[in-house]
Amino acid sequence: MIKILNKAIVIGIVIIMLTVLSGCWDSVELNDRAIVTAVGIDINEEGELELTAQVINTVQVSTGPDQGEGGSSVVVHSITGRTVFEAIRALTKMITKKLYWEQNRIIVFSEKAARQGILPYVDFFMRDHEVRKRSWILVTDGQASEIIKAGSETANIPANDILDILDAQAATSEAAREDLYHLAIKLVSDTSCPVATHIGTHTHEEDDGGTEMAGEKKATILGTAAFRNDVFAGYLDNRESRGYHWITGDIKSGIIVVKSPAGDDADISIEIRKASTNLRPQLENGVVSMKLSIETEASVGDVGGELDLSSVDTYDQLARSCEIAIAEEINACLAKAQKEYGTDIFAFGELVHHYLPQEWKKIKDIWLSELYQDVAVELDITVNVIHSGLITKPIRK
Amino acid sequence: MPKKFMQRIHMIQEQLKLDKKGPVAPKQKSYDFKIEKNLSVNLKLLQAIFSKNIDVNFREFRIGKDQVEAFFVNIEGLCDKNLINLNILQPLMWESKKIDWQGDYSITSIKKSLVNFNDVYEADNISDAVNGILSGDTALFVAGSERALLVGTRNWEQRGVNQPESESTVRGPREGFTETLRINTSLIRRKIKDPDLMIEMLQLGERTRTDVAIVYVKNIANNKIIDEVKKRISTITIDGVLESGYIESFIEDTPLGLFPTVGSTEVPDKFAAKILEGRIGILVDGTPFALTVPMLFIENFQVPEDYFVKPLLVLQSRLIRYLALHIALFLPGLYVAIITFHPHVLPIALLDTIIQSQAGIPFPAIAETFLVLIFFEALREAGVRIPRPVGQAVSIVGALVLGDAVVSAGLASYPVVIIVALSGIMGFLLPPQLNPMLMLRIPVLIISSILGILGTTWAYVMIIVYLISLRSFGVPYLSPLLPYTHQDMKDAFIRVPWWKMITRPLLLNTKDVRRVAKGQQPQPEEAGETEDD
Repeated sequence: MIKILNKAIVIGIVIIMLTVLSGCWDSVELNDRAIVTAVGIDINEEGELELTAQVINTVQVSTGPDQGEGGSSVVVHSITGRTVFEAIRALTKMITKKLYWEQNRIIVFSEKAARQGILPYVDFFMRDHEVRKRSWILVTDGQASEIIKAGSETANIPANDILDILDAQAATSEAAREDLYHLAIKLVSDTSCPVATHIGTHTHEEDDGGTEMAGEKKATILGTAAFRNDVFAGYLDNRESRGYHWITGDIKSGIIVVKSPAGDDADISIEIRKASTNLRPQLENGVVSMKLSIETEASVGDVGGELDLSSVDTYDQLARSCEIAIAEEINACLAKAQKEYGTDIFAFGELVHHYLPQEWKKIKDIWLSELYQDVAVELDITVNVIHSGLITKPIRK
Repeated sequence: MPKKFMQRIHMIQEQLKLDKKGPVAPKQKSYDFKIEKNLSVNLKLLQAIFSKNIDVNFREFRIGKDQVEAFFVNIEGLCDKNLINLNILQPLMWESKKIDWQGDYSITSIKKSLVNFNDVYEADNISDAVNGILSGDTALFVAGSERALLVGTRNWEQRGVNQPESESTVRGPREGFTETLRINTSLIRRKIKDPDLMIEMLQLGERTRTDVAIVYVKNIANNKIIDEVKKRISTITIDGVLESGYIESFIEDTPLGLFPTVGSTEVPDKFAAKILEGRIGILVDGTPFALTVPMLFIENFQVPEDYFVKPLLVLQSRLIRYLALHIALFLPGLYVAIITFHPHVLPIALLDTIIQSQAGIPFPAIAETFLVLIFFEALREAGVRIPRPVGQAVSIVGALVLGDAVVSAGLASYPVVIIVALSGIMGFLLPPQLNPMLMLRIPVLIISSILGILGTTWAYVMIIVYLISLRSFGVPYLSPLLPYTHQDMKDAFIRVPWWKMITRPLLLNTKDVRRVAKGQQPQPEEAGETEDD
C-alpha cells in the first residue's frame, strides 16, 4: 500500500516538474492572439521611435468558406515610444489581444533609423524570447511604415509576398539577405560587418483591369544595404549585390548578359548553373591581400543574334566574356563597399583571423579603420560554358 | 418492504465478502444417480428432474416379440424427428420382432444390432444422460438395463456458413464461422487435414455447459503455451459462457488494459493461418468469433488479404494502417497543442486560414475539439446500433446537416471538424479490436491541451512504454519491433513473398520452425529457351 502511495507521489512529482520546469506553460487561445507578421521601425520628425506592426485580423465573424473576399486580412498599427519595448507595450492599449511575435518574419528599418545604429533594436529582438530569430532584416530608403502598409498581389497577408520575393532572389542573386540571428552575430564580431536587404515600394500607375488597385503601393526589392558595424553605410545596387555574392560564394543562380562574339552587337544571356568561390588571405611582406578564385559552370540561356554554337571556340569566347563581366561586377562591388563605405561585409577580417591568426592579433585594432580599405583582391575567375540549351544553331539562318 | 430489501442486499454483500477467494459461481445441480434396472424408477427420476418443462419429450414403447418396456427422452427442437422415427423407433418397434433375442435385451446388444445410427454412446449415470439430453441427444432407457444409450440426434435450426460481416475481403475465402461449434471445427479440419491438428473439447459454464474447443497443431505449437492456455481456461468458474468474449476476459494478460492481448476472428482461413503459425485457437459454441493466442501488437495490422496479394501492395497498405493509428490517436491532441501553444510551427498562410475560421468561436480549442469528438463518437455509436434503414438517415442528418450547421452557427470551426473527422475515419482503418485503444485519444487530447506538444510526446512515450511492458502468454507484446527480432520482421511492416517466408514466427518458440523450403524463388527461363532433358 505504501509502495503504491510512493509510486503515486513520484509520478505526481514528475508530472508537476514536467509542467512547471519545462517553461512551456503558454497556452493561449488562437482567438486571443494578435499574430504579428511584419514590423517596421522609423524615426519620426520629433526624433521618436515609431513602430509599425502588421497584425493578422479576422475578416468577418461568420466563417463561411468564401471568407476574405480577396481583401487582405491584416491591419496595421503604429505607435511611438522611446524604446521598442515601450512601443510594443503601448500597442497593447490599442489591441485587445496578446501580441504574438513568433510568426514575425520581417523586420524593416527605415534608412533614418538605420543611420542612427540598429544595435538598440536588435538588442530587443534578440533578447526577447518570443521573437523569431530567423526574421529577415530589411532596410528601406523611405518610411518603414510604407513597406508594412504595402498591399499584396496574391496572398491575404502582404508580409507573405515580401517573403516570397525574398526567396525568389535566389534565382538572380541580385540582393543579399540576412536574418536576425546572423546579423546579430556579425554585429558583435569585430571581423565582419552585416548586410541587409534593400527594399522599396513601387506604385501601380494605372488600373490594369485585375484585382490590383491603381495607386496601391507594392513592396519591391532594390538591392543590398551595407552596414559599418551597426550603422547604415550605403546601398549596393543589383549588379554590385551580385558582386557581393560572388565574393561570399553564395551564388545560387543568375543571368550574365554579354555581347555576342560574332560581332553583331547582339546580347547573349548566360545562366549561372553552378559556382564555387574560394577566398583566402595572403601575407606578403607584412601586407595582407586576398586571393579570390571562382569556378563557374554556365549555360547559354538565349542568343540575340545569329551565333553558331556548334563550335568549341565559340564557347571559349563566351566564357572569356563572362569572366570579364564577373570581374566587373566584383570590382564594382569592391569599389563601393570597400573603398567608398569602408565596411567589411565580405568578412575579410574573419578569414584573416582564421588563416593568419598571428597577423590578426597585430592588426585587429586598426583593421577596419586603416588597413581594410587598401586590401588588394586578386581575382582568378574560370568560367565553363557547357551547355547551349536544346538548340545549338540559331533558329533563323 | 424497502427495509427487508436492504437487509437482503446487506446479507448478500456479507456473504460475498466471506467467500471472496473460493469459487462462488452458482452450480448446476448435479444428479449423481446410478441408472436403475427398474425402468419406472428411471422414468420418474427423469420426470422429476425435468418437471414441468414442456419441451422435454418422453416416449414409452415396447421392444421385440417379448414386449420389453423402454422409453426415450429428448428435447424437442434440438433433435431430428425423422432420424428418431426412422433409426430408433422403427428398428426397435418393428424390426426387433424379426430377431431372436435370447433374453438379452441389454443396451449393448441393442446398440450393436438395432440402432442404425453412427453417433451413439453409453452412459450409466443419470447426470451424464441429462447432459446428453440437454445437448440434443436422445437417451434410450430399456427395462432391466443399468445403462442408457445416448443417440446423437442433435439437429436444430442453425445459420449456415455465410460471408463474415466484420472482416470482409476482396480476395480470399468467403466463408465465416457460424454459431455452431461442430460446423466451425469442421471448417478448420477441412483446411488443415493433419491428424496432428488437435481439437480438444471441454465444457465451461456451470449452467450453460458451453462447449469450448482448444485447437492447435500438436507438433508445431509450443507445449508451454498450450499448457498455459489450458491452465487459464480450466480455472474459469462462471455460470454461463455466451460468447468468446467471456473467456477472453478470463485469460487475457491485461484484464483492464485497452490493448487486445487475445486475438479474435470470424474467418476460418485467418484462424487456420494462426494455428499454422503455432498459435493456439479457442472456439466457443454459440458464437462465430474464435480466439487465438498469443496475440501480438503487429497482428492488429495484418489482414488475411495481406497474404494473398502482392507483397509491395501489402507494404503500402500496412504503412497506411500504422499511419492511421497515429493519426487516429494523436491528431486531435496535436492540433490543440499546436493551436494553443505553438502557432509558429504552422506556415503563416495556413495559420491565417485557421484564424479566420476560428474567429468568433466562443469555446477554447480544447472544449471545441472535445465537443466535436464526443459528437462524432455518438454518431458512430448510433450508426452501429440503430437498425440499418434508420442508420442511413442518422448518418446523413448527423454528418451533413449537423456537421455543417455546427460550423455555420459558429459553435465549432472547420479545421476542428476536419481534424476530428480525419481522426475518426482513420480509426475505421483499424480492426474493431483496437477500438478500446482509440479511447486514448481523449487523454492524449487533455494532456496536450495542458502541456502542448510536450504533452503529446509524453503521451506517446507513455503508450510505447506501456506496450513494451505487456506480454501475451509470455510473448512480448510489441515484438518483433521491441525486442527487435530481425527474422520476424518479415511479417511486420512488409510481408515477404511466400517463398521467402522460411520460418514460423520465432518468438512463438514453435517445435517445428521451418514452414517453407528454401530456394523456391521462381526463376523464369528466358524466352525461346526450353529445357532439353
